[in-house]
Amino acid sequence: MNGNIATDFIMWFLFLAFFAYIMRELEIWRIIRDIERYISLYKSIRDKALVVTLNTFKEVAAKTKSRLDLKMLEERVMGLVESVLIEPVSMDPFGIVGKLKHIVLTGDRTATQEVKRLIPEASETDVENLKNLIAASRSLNIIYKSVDHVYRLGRKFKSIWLLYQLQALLPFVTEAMRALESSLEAFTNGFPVGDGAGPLLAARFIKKFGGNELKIEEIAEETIMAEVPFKNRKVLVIKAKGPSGVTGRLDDAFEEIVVKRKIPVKMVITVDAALKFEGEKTGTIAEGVGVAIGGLGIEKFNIEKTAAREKIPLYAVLIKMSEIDALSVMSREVCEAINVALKNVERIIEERSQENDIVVLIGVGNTIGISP
Amino acid sequence: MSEELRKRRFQAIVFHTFILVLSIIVVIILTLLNLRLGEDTGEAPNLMPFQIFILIIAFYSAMEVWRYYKIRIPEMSLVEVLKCNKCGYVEKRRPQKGDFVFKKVGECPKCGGVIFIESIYKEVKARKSER
Ligand SMILES: [Zn+2]
Repeated sequence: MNGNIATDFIMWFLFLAFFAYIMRELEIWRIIRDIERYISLYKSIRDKALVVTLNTFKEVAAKTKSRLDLKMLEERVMGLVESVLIEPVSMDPFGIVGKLKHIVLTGDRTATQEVKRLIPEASETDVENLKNLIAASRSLNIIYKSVDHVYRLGRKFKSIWLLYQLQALLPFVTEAMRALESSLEAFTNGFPVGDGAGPLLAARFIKKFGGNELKIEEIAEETIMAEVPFKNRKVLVIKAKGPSGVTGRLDDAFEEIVVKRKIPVKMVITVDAALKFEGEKTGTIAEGVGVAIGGLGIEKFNIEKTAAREKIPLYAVLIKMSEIDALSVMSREVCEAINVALKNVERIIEERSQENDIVVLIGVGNTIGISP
Repeated sequence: MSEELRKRRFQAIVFHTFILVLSIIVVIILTLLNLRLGEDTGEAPNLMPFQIFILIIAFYSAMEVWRYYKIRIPEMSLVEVLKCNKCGYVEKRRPQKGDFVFKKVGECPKCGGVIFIESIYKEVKARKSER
């Protein structure tokens, strides 16, 4: 009888130990399964992006009736997707913005040339949209590859902590992947994206107060300026030149106005889309001071530099949205928020400038699907 | 995108329901077996650990089914608002490829003024609660 209880006890103990071990293994297995599921999702999104890009190339080629060597096309597009932008060395950061700008512009020009070489008759809008598609595919490719890299290392060295870390980051990565994925729809069709909130506001301002005899000039590459009268003031509206998907050279345009033409600007308002917090509603509007331009910070730096030298006050209006909202076709909330933001901009100009002043209004963002 | 998501959701629900049903059947069979053996020999083998283990699997699958069931996949539709310059006539339609905001698309059917695209946006029919 006693022996029976002892064996029972040992059996239970063994069972519990086994159970604990199994639970741990199950946990690892679950994490690996989870990560694998995400990675296969990322891969399918990346592949879809490549297919969409290639198909759009074919469509544009068919539209312009140019002949396309499919094999070469595939090779070239893959080459563009795998191409890298090497950032300048930052050990001695003096003058790094200028170098970075030079490299970015070179990359942009090269992409244009490559696309034009493939389809020489493509229109400007088509070229820009194709470039945007390639850029989206490139980002998707890089994200997929780096996640896959960490996952493989984690498995190879059986490092549960590496896998834990990767798993913890996946929500953010997935958000970025989804955003880029949904941008494909906008870029293939040429519809405005949420990031176009700034340019759309600028375009609405031009439309609302510009009247019929409006002067619009291309003040810098891919960038336009319109002189709009508003309540006895002169508002110089700067935005990227639509409806192709470009963000323009806003810093060059500002430099041209303030430094080369020596126009006495009294204030600058930048309007841009900004990333919202998860708890905030899409289309919330925030006001502030400073320059509201995202990205690498080149244009922000240059405008800040010029404005600080000339002592021009900088105001900003931000339209908040998620990353997905920013890159996919503009949502209704953002579209409606722009009208509210426009009212804010009008109020800021009225309250913070005097009559006969000259004000610069910059609509920041990708102007795809938004004219002029 | 939502098409693909819907397919994945359906597959996941089917898979986990299958596992759930299977494990419940196994538990029932084990219980019956235990009872029958107990009747026959008077001393039943202890199948408790297996039953608990399988019940945990069943519980996990049930949670997964519920989780996937709760996911609402948003339905998007693209809307294009056309507006007349003069009289304010407004019309909504689906945007076509190559359309852009402030593109002139024709004449107003009411006053003959210029109609242009006022805005292009995406409307969500059911708000998502995605993971
Ligand atoms: Zn009309």
